[in-house]
Amino acid sequence: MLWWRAPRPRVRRAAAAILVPSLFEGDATGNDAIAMARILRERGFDARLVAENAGPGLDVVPAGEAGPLLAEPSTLVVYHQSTWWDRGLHLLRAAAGPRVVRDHNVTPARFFAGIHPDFVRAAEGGAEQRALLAREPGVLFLAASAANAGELAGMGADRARLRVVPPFHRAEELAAAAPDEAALRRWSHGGPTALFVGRIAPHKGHLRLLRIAALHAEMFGEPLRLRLVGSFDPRWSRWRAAIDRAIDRFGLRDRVEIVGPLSEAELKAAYLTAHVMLCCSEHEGFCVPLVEAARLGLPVVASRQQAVAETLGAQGLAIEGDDDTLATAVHRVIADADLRERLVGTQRERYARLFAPAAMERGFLEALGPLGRPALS
Amino acid sequence: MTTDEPPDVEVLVAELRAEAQRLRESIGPGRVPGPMSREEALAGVATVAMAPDGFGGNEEAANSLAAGGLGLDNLGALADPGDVAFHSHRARTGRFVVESKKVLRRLLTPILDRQAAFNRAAVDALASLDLKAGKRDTLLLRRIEDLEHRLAEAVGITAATAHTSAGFDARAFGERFRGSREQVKLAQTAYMEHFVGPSSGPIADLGCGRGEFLELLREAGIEAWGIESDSAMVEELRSRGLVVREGDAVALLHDCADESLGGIVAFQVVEHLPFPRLVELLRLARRKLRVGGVLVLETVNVQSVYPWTRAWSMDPSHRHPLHPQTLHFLAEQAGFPSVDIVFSGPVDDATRLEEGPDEDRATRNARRLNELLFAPQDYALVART
Repeated sequence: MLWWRAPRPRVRRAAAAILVPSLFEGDATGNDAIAMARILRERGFDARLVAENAGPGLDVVPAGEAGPLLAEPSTLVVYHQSTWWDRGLHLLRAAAGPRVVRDHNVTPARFFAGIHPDFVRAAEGGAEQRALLAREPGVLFLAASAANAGELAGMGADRARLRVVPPFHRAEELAAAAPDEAALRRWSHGGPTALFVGRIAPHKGHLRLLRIAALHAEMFGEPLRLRLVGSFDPRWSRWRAAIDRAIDRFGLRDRVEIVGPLSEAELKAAYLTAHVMLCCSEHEGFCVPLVEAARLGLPVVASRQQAVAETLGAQGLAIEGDDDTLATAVHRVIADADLRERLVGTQRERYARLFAPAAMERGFLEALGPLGRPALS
Repeated sequence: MTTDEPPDVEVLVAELRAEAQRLRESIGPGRVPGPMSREEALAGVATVAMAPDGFGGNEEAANSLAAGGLGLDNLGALADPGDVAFHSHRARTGRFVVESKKVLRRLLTPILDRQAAFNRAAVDALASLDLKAGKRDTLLLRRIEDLEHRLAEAVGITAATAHTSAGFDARAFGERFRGSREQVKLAQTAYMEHFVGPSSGPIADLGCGRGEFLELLREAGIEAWGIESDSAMVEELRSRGLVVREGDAVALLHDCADESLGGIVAFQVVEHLPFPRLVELLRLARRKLRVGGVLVLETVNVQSVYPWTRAWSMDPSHRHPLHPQTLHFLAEQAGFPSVDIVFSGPVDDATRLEEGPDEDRATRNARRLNELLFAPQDYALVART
């Protein structure tokens, strides 16, 4: 039997490493990762964000220097899966502590075929890594939606270790922000306006939005203005050109505004000046703009897609139907004040129950279970 | 229905469908074109392009091409002559020139349309080829990564494990010939004298195998983690609550911060390494250990014939016999200021030659032979920073 004088134990905060390939504020994955880091810090973790690259002003540990942090057996690792990330996968697999994979879903490569090979490759790689991670043993999975959780289970993830945790968002910050005055003035006049917030990407259903706007005018004799908010990658120029072509084809040149990415104040103005949010996205893992719309009191009309319908809930207006029906729904929601109020009320109630910060935080910590309690070592 | 109640969505959608249908029937087919597929939208993309002097166009794309930027995006932009803006700077004859250009354009339109269609088809074909090439590149890259990984494993510290050598299950081999976990654990308690108390951690156990030493360290309250390349073994160890990283030991050791470890141990591992990898490991260990840290490398004592004919020869994944003096020399070269060789695993007396009670010739000869044939089966390099 060996004997030694037991020294006074060193007390230090347990660490948490939030791994994300790229970290930018305003980006859905970035917002989610930043919020997780904040919550874990509030719980007593020394939570650090680890990224390959990051936006200005964000305090991150470069991924190349994260080895020692992850080698600590007490470090809780939360890996954000959204794309193929070699080093991230290596870091996750080498991590000595408990491991959590946050799944953000991956847009299927087929949407990018003919648009740009970079995105096809990225999407294929992302899907491949997602499938690899789904089979990674000993990992706790946080899926953004039940739809995502079902996909992960189908890929081999252990159902007992699957939890559904919606992604953290900035709806409260948006609600608290003052709207941009110039944008308010510019957008307050122009008749009934449908808003869509999402990248100008091939899976976001812009072509359908355009046709519905055209149908609205034809069926109800009232033009519908379409305001499209969202970032655009220069490599999607072919898709942007296709949308331009479609705008002409549907005769909407003077009724569609592609306003690009907006500041928080401008985005607030966009929500406040729209009459309805129209979403026809073909693929989502979750749909954060619908949560923002709920918080800001904008009624939503959506075409039914699994994760979109899940975000809206059973009382949301996610319609399995043709474009005529969606155009009619948009018209009804704009024209019928009572329906509008009830939709907004339903959305608000759902927001308070599931997506308000306290509910989100509670759900996240419940999903983590004992992993969310930092052990002092 | 009051405004507080949520809408009955099912009823509402049925109403909306019916209303849409009524309106459609009253309007008829209407003028709005049908739904547009993604492919249709892309096929119809017509970006304006051509030389500025002739038929208007995309100067940026043309200039980019002229500058040698021959990308598919540029080709796509130049695929269609597109619309034409006719103008002339001539004051008197300008109108005539413009009208002539318009007539010329009308005459050329069918030819230009065919040319545009051909151009688009060519660009699409190139895009498809580019995509296929991209996919092939991706597959090749993955293959290269996979081969690199296998190569790293093949030369890695824990590469002797089964999954790197087709047909040879090193794990089962170890189970049969290495001894039971209890036996190994008992033998390894001898090394615990180098790691006294929680402050001696963290310890990295390279090629930790079944985790015997990790268990000893855990029982002593010393922070430790292992590296093991056998993923099934990793899972088993994790299920026993041990901290293990899966992968190549040298590569993972690189990830540790310099001077962050209190100890590094590797039992029956270094004899599996290629020589350059062993040298790398020693240099790396010197760097990763903090002041007062200890490196323990246990291996087969090849000075003794008995283990040479048994333990050494039985395991086909052994690479190079390592003489104790060689390992000692290498550790010094790596910068360890204090290096010792400690022998262990004595051969049992029943096997050794019997040495008589008298210091006679027979006894002396028996002792010499025992030293040659039946010296301890293992030795450990114990190096301190």
